[in-house]
Amino acid sequence: MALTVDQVLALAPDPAAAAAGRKLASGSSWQSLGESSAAYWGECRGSAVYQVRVDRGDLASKCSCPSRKFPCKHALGLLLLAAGKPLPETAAPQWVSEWLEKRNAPKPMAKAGTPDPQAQAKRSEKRAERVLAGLDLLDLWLADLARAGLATLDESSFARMAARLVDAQASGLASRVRRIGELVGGAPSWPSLVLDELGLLALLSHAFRRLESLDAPLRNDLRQMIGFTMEKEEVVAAGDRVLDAWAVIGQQAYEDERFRSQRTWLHGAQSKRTALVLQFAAGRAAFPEALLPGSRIDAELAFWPGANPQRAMIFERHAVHPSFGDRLPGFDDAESFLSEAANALSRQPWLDRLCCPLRAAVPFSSQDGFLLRDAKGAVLPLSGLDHWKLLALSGGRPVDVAGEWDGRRLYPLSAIANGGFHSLRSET
Amino acid sequence: MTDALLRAALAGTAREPMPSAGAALDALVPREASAEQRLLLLAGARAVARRAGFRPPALPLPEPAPEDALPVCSPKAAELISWFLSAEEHDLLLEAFKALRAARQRLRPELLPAALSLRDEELREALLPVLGARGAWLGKLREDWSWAAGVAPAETTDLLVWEVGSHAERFALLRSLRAQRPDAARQLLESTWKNEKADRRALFLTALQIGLSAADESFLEAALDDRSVDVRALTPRLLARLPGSALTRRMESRAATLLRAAPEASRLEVSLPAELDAAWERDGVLRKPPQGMGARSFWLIQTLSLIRPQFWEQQLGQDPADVAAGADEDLLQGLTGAVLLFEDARWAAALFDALLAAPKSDFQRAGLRELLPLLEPAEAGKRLEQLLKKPHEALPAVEAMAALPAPWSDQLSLQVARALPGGGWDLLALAVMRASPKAFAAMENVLPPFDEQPSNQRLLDRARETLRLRGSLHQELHP
Repeated sequence: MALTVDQVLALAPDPAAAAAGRKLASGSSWQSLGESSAAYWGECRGSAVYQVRVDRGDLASKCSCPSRKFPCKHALGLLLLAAGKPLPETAAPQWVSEWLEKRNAPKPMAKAGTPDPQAQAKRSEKRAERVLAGLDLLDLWLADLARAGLATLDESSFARMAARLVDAQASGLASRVRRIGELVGGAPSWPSLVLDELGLLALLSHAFRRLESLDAPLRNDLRQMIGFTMEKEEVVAAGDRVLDAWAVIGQQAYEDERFRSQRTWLHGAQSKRTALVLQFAAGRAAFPEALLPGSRIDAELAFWPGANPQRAMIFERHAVHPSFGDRLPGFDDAESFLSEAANALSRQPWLDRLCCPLRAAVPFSSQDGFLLRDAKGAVLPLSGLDHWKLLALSGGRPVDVAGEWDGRRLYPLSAIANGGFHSLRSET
Repeated sequence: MTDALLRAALAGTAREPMPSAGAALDALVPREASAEQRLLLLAGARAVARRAGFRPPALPLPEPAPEDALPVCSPKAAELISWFLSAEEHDLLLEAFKALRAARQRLRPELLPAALSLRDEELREALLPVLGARGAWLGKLREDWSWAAGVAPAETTDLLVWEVGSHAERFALLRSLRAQRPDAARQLLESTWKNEKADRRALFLTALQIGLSAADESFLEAALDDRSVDVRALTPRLLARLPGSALTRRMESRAATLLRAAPEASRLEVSLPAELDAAWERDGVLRKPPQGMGARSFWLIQTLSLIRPQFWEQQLGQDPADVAAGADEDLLQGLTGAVLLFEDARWAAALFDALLAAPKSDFQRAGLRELLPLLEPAEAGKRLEQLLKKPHEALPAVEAMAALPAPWSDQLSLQVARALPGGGWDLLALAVMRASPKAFAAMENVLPPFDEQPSNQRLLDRARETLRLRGSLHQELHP
């Protein structure tokens, strides 16, 4: 079974590459097209002839074109062709098989420098001091805000505070402060939202100062939220490792000037666990792992340790299947999801996003915005302004919807209507 | 709002020193905490409690969309259309919607939001039959999609729109009402006619072309005396198309002495009055010619263009080809005007041939372009194929072909494919967009693989791409 067009387009590094790939798939001349269980390949003729090949295992691609986008338009075009109808099954030409061999050759292990334990201990002690000094500044700043009142809030003071936290090596807190600043003056209810967030920030600072009295898992969460990052090797060593068939149920991508980031939610068929994979890519480079919405990957995930572990990374990938099925694994009503959410918050009160896969729910629009009604009639408000594609898919009838729940509203990421999986992210 | 904590936070602890979030949460705060700490920790605890304690309200659902009778198009067709939508390929979209309709399929629901947001009238018209019940259902949910809602407006809303709508809305209402109930539409127009501004009167009058009938005559006859020049120019063109109208009889009695076959040669003689009668002027013949044209030529052209061309076959006892062959440029111009007004294929072919033989002029080029769509497709194809073979005739031919509705007939498309080598880039660009799928293979076979010049290479690539895109579309929709 082949990938869907939606899935291929989800790989595009930007809308221009997606559009160019679509154009190539239906409007260009291709030759030497072929596929095997390991790869797709073909030669695309434009002003020159480019040889493009894609590894079916992880969807990594290589093309002889000079583009610095990954995957390039030729690779996207090739995948779109393969999505339309199977390519001829032939023996791979040399330029494909050599590439595959090179990819599968065992990689020499990166030589890790032997750390100097003494220097390391000194560094971390120094960092702890800096972070604590940053927390002192934060507490003072928060107290000033509380004394003067939110009515007098000065937006620019958030950026200044965030910069100081960066200096104090507390990048997690810094971005939290920046995000709160962005709320100021926004939605009509912003004072209430800002108060909630400032309160959570104060709780975070308060908790970190009594870190030693907390359970180890929550200590991990707090350190991560402050900005102590864990190396991959540490995650693999310290966290749960779960081998399962993971359904890729929703994905959200963001872009700023230099970085693209991506949040992908997975659901394990056996473990029933939810995993959140965060990925980053510079410029138009590809994300390290191709995670296609609607697909299923058989893989071993490593979870970041915590009181309610959900962030994870792909430790080892075994196989990809284009579709995880025609129903969403998840909750049959909002109530069971909400009670699960309450349990998660009781373990880790700062969770600001939870995955909510809700089956047989009906989206509709009202004067107060978009809403999603479960099979029992309970209604969750949707965040965001444009959910017309979801409404069009449903036609006022039940569909399966996966979204992100922020404690107040649900942001829909994907839907299954009539057995077909649809990403709801804005069209590329 | 009874949120004491938020009130305290807005005012600041300098003014509200003992914030509270209710006994249960208040008890969680350490006793030694300052007023500021207390406020913030309470806010944090309450935020967690709110998130964990969300209670969803229960609400009834609005009506679902009715079941659709038409099947949805294939995913491949949907992908093509989705791409055309995002690239705003007007012509390809139009072709896709028409092909979808012919295949008795509808758009897949996920394409509907983008399709409903199209603003082009021609595309919207082509979309209506392929939106399905789902599209009409969505149309009811958004003001800017209401054009697709498929509800005939009630009579009372008609009147309201007519009284308070914008002129575009009023014009749209008049046209749609005219298509369903022509008399009611005319009466609606009459009811406010006297109070409309001149430019509105002229615009609204064009709606009467829809469903024109003898019942309109007395209104139109009165409009011949309108204050507005534009109204006076349009009205005779409407009355002339009513076979038994008083204006038609007046024009034909004038025509009876206007033209005569000269006995000595196949040439037509004209006898015009020396002075223009006021009665002629009332019937739409303007007195003052544009610059560079003689007054009598001008009167003749205007008069001829209001007379049904078949009249001359009886009057002169000649067939269209003979009449056209004996006509000079003024006569050709007048007869072309008449053929365009009365839309007669035989006369269009005769005049097309006569214009081709006539000396080159702006009028000749415009005439060829305007007449071509009126010809029978086979007749049009025959003439175009010959024209395209002659380099100096190719440009006017391509211009004329651009006016033909797409897609071209199979026969014409194949004829054009044969003419493509040496036919020029304009012909190629037009042909790949308009030809019928039957000719795609033939066209692709005659395209040169490469061109030295990069700009030409781009045109070639674009032509191939268009052919393949259209090919994929038709393959999907007519398997």
